[in-house]
Amino acid sequence: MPTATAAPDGDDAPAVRWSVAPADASGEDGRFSIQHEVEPGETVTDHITVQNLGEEEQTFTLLAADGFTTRNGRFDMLASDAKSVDAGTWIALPDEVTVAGGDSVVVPFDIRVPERAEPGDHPAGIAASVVTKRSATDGTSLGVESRVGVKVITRVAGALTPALTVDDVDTDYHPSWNPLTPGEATVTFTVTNTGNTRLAVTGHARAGTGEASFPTPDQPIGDLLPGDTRQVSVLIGGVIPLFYAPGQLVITPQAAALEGPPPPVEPVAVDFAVAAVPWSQLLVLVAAALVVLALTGSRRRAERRLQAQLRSAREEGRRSALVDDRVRTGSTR
Amino acid sequence: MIRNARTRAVPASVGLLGGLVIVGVGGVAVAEETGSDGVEVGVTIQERQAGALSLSVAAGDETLVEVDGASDDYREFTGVLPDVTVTDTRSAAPEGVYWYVTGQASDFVGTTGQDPITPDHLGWAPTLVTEGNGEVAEGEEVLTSIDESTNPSVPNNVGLAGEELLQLALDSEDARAANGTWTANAALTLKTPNDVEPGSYSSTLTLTLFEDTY
Repeated sequence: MPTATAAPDGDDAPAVRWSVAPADASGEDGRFSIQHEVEPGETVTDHITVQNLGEEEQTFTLLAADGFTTRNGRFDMLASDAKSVDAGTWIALPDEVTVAGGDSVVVPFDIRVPERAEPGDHPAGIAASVVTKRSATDGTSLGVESRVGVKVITRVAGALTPALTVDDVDTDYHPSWNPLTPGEATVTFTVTNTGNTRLAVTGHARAGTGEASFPTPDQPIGDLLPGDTRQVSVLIGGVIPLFYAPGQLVITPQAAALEGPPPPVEPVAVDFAVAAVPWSQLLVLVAAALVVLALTGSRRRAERRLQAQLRSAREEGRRSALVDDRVRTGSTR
Repeated sequence: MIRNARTRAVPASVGLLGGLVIVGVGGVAVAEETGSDGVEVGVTIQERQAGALSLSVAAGDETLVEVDGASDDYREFTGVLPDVTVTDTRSAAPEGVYWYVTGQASDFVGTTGQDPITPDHLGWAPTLVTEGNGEVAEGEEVLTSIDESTNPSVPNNVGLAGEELLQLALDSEDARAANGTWTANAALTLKTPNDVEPGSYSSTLTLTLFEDTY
């Protein structure tokens, strides 16, 4: 079986190019993930199609593993060296599939749900992979296993109990240095999926005179698998600094629907407050006060000078009047 | 590269669950009876989606090479990930569906029984090789557990536990995936304590292409 190894003369072997997609018995069927609701103890059969877009015939390793969420909130499946303990072990599929260049092969697989499976969503993935064979070299070597995966969600029938908790609410205020524009508040918090279904999370945050909805397109939150925790940060604009901005966070979880309507989940509301000191406005006030003080001060000084001049003029007048008197009466003393 | 589907008679190889079915990429004819009078039988050609979202990884085994005199505090080995290429030729990618490639490293296992080096010691700095117009982004740099985090809000000195190499940057649920070919690779850095046992070590880096939806 040819595998992708570098040819000895330095020419790279043609790279394998392939795709994997959900399928029915006759080929790709337009789904982008595989989702089934299954009773405990039951088995469903489904299909994937593996397409070889290269010229050469290629054998792909087929694998199934538990699903998990990456640090960035993306779905992934365990690597080959990790041991699956949940839905990854329920999937039975052939070990490998050989596909001629330019062809597709439909591969059937079973999801066999154990009798004692817990109700709720159990994430897993199926992939077709190509492993770069590791040559026994000295030093520290790194083989590469490349996989094209499909998400497989098995919802075990039974009591669905979607639930979400919100923790570690923290706030921060960023004043605007332009005293005529309001500032921004940031609210960060963590959400934890404590129920047994996948959850999508949307919400609304209010702080003083500002408000914001989340997630925003550039900061998606992504689905939360059961047990997932994710940190969310929401920027609220238009917060006028009035020393204290009372706020509220309302988080609306939505359980994933498979067949029929999704089970309802209670929204979670959290009250918080942001200290919003109007620094730039205070600065303006201080500056204005200084100007007023300076103006009034100089006015007072001018006033005093005038009064002093008047006083001295009056003195002058009095003294000269006295002298005149003496001159007129002619002192005999 | 689009090739005409070839229908070939191939003996079905029997897998774990019975036969695998060879399917050409093309139309599937479905006979439909119209009405119960049975006068007319129409044939509908069901269109299969043309094109595919595919992955290709350049062949090659990576050896990480020690950087002499990198630091007094640790030993450092560097290498480069082979080129990873994602091609999307689907004529009509569904709205709000996006793709991404993740990376996970396994333990560096000692070939002569030394203690393994855990994957948090391996970091990477992804680079987009193809010129894009912003529709695809490389993942963020991930540092090793021996480094100090450079991200104040979320520590990034965690190593390759499940990280993004490349992603389609769809910015809304109405956006559609663009057709194209994008290639990325990554500079790899392994940092170990000075007292790491000498010998050969090997690890597997797993790259996975997934699709998801808004």
